Amino acid sequence: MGNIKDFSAIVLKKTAFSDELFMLRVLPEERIKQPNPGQFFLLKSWEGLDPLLFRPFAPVLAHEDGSLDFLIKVVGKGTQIIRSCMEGAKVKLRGPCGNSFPDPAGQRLILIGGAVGIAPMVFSYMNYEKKLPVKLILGVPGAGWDDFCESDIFSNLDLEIFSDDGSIGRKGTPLTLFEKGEIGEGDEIWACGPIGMLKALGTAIDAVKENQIYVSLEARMACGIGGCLGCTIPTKWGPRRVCADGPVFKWAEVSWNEL
Amino acid sequence: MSFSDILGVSIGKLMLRSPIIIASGVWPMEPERWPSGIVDKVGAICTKGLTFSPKEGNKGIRLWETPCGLLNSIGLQNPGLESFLKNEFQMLKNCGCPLIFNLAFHREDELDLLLDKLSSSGFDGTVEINVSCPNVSGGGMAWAVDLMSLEMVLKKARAKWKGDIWVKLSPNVPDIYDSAIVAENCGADAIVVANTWLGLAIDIKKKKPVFERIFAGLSGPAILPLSLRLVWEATNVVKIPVIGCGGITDTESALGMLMAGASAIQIGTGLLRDFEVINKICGGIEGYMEENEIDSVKQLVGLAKKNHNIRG
Ligand SMILES: Cc1cc2nc3c(=O)[nH]c(=O)nc-3n(C[C@H](O)[C@H](O)[C@H](O)COP(=O)(O)OP(=O)(O)OC[C@H]3O[C@@H](n4cnc5c(N)ncnc54)[C@H](O)[C@@H]3O)c2cc1C
Ligand SMILES: Cc1cc2nc3c(=O)[nH]c(=O)nc-3n(C[C@H](O)[C@H](O)[C@H](O)COP(=O)(O)O)c2cc1C
Ligand code: FES
Repeated sequence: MGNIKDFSAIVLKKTAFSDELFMLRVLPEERIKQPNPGQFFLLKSWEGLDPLLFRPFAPVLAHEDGSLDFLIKVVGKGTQIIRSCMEGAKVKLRGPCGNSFPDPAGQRLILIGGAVGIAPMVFSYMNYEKKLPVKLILGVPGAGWDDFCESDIFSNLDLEIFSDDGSIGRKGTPLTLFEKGEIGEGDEIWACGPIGMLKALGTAIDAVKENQIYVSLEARMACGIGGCLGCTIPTKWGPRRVCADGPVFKWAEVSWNEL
Repeated sequence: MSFSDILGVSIGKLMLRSPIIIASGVWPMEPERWPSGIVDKVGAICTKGLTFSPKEGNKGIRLWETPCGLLNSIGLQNPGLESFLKNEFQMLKNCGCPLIFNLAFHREDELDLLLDKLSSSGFDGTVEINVSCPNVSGGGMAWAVDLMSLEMVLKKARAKWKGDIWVKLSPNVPDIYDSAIVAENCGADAIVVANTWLGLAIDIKKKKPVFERIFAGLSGPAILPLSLRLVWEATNVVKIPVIGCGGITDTESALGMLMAGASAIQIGTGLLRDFEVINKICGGIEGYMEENEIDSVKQLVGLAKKNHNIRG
């Protein structure tokens, strides 16, 4: 039997970074299996039939008391309702879902997150910082992301920020690092974020070993346990389920041109 | 009384410990992925739609939520029957729950081949012939729409298959009477009413249809009143059991489906929304029966039909 289950949790805290970006800390009401880096949960804060399904989110942090932090960007109906959640409210979760990043084989771990794609990267950072050198790279659009970039999520982390408009950190995207030769042999890259950014990681292949680039992908989901086959992405081996075979894939196995 | 004395039903030769069946296409075919305690009260599990050759399914977006509903365009992705028998079935056959083989086919001779392969594996249980998949070209729901070919294909299947045959009908027909009667006349042991409804979603940002195949199958609570009507109609014209499917998400909808005439119920989308739904429904039905002094779930079947001329 799998470790995934539906469970309730209480909202302990909600922190708004902007109108569109907030963090939710939830405490499960029962013992659950702790997630591994790369794993995610399905979450909903409604009981009724509309919206119908859970929404997938990757935790940013798992705390010792069992609580989980989620970083959520408001994009549509579901995330709008979740944003209106008050402290003390009950939410439903399903998880932990998906595979996870395998232990790194490189000598240094470069974790790249585009916007909210940073969530599983912070989680991975915490898991590996004592085991090998880890560097966190965050790419954001710019204006409106200041409070988030300055938040204490990132305090004491080896973090470098890039923004499209140059208003926060360096101007450009995390991929600028490859052009400047700041990433090289021996580095292992894990990334999560917009599909364009992940696809463009292919430009890093000259610098690092092809099989040392991993990406965490997104797809629309219904079951989260590999049953409905609704969340597949094209790979070299045919369609694979993001919720069960992923969300972590080797960069080289994804058929990027068919995505 | 035991759980199955109260909730047990039989459909053809199959004894189900509860009337709740997991519908085809929503539940993992790897039991190690099942959350614990979820299938304990399940009457039977339908496999993912299986074809003779492997199928990769449809490209592009496969799921789209609608108000209280879900459009899907999976396109029968499956490893093919042979591989399924060698791999998934080896784990599923000891899962503690009867397995119903959902079979889908494009050409008529493919159903022959599927049934031959299944017999040679030693399986002689129940098959659910899927003549209603809206998400593939040729075959699929075309079978249920063309009554002559439906009759031909079901007659041949009946002659070949010794176990029970359920026929999963399409709601995308002018009326359900004709296909229900054809299935019964061809010797089906039960009919499943029904599969998903053909729908459309437009992505207004991209200004084009969401799905590559344009149309997709609508399921979930949005279709409940439609499937209740079809079950009511189908049970007016056939004597074989009708299994109600479409939009069940809670005790009320499940009770409604039984009272409309369904002898058992399939749940798909409801399970995607809540893994506990089957346990909740079984508990809810038991509670309702106790309150209303009903001993067996069979007494609920078609109750609304019996009562509909009674005033008050
Ligand atoms: C594994 C995984 C991890 C994720 N982690 C995070 C995270 O940490 N923080 C965060 O803000 N977002 C994350 N997302 C994206 C998030 O799930 C979507 O933004 C969210 O589902 C949108 O829901 P909505 O109702 O507000 O949007 P709508 O557009 O109204 O949603 C309509 C439907 O499409 C689905 N959908 C829309 N966008 C996405 C998307 N990008 N990915 C998957 N499904 C989508 C919804 O779930 C819903 O079923 C993750 C997605 C996946 C697959
Ligand atoms: C993701 C998904 C995949 C499905 N795959 C199949 C399938 O392979 N074969 C089939 O006969 N029906 C399939 N169906 C239809 C369901 O079995 C069911 O008939 C339909 O969804 C209506 O019931 P519901 O409202 O309870 O979901 C699928 C439905 C969904 C949502
Ligand atoms: S969401 Fe159902 S298989 Fe991935």
